[in-house]
Amino acid sequence: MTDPFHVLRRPLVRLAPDPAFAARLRDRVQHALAEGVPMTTAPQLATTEGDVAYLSLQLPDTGRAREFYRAVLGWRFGAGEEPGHSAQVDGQSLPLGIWDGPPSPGIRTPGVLLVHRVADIVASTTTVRSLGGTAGPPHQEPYGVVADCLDDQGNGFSLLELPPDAPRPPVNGALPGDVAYITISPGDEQRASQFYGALFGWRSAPGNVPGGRQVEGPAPMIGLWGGTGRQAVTLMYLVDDITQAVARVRDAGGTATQPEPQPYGVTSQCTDNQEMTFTLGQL
Amino acid sequence: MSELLRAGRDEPDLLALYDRALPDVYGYLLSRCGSTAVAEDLTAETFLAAVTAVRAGTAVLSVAWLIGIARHKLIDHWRARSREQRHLETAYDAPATVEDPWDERLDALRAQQTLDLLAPQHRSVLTLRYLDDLPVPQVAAELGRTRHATEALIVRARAAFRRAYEGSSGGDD
Repeated sequence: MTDPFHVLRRPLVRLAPDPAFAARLRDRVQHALAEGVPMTTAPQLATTEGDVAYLSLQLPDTGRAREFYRAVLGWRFGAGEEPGHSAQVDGQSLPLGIWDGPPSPGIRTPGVLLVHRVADIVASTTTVRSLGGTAGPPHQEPYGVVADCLDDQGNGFSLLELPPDAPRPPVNGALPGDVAYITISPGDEQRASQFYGALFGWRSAPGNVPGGRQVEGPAPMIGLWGGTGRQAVTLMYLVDDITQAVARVRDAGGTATQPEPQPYGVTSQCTDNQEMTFTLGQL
Repeated sequence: MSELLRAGRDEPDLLALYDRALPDVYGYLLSRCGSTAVAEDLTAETFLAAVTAVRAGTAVLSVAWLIGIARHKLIDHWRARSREQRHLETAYDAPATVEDPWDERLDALRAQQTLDLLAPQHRSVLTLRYLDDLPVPQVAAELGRTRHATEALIVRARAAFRRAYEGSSGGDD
């Protein structure tokens, strides 16, 4: 005997409400969301703090990396540069390089070292230490004053002091081969949100994936992801034609997933010829 | 290009979800509360609670998540009505520990009208258990009761429903 109460079962049905009600409520939701983003409390200028000013791909073999990224992303390297531990990429919007010497503190090879821009490096290193991280002494390099740091979860990064009028990189890249998005997988994204929020004044909001947080402010755009990635930092590179780019990755000895549509473009998850993971994005 | 990536971020996402999920949320609520005015109020409360969750970093941004919020709002609504009508409930809450088998084939429309006659707490538990088809442990969690108390409440609610249903069939009263 079936339970007569099961006749009450009411599957979900879609019913459009009165259009005037729907429009009024949409306005209320939009307004409430806008109130939740306190843009007025932080002047736009302050957001250069924490911008990525330089980054370094740390890999087992710089020579193989040059071949791969030249073929896949069209990177050009400093003229007359001898093959060695370091190679600087020329002509991209965000300066970057490749390094196969001893990895920086807190970076596992293959991995990416992010160099964040700050206005006052002495103040920032003090903040790093007060937040439970470590910071080496600021020292002069040809391109500026830098300090090697670890966050409170042991992830390595560097700080570079730049004057307030130094140019910013594009938010999502501008040229093919540019870095268009940076994902930081720090272990615990809530802790990272607090650490980097206190250090750089970043705010972050939940992102499109579970455990993901979208950081507001820095350029290039940065997301925090709590998932257990093999790499603490994963870069997305801008490409014109993702189908062709995926073919180039495979030809050059890497792997690439079939391109998939996302809300912001089409992406493919890749590895290079030395097991470095990265993403291609046709945005 | 930056606009494209920004469009994938969270605040615009809730608005996009609003456009997609409004009929789901409203349809869920209207088919359970039976009143356009109440369904509109609870729909608004649902989406404003979703905004709060986005700010707090606890949003999941799916239709199922919104329906879950709507369900809480519906139960809160009946709970508030229950407080207003406490004197009525005690009459409905006569012990009904033994349930006679009841194999009548219920008429769906009359069953819905019967629900409207019930005390709010009986209506809540029957809605969760039968209209939403939730298992008893989840009903208990939604209502903040123990499983045992929930089972007892379901028995009382079924008895009250049956009295009201049979009472509504026998002519004038």
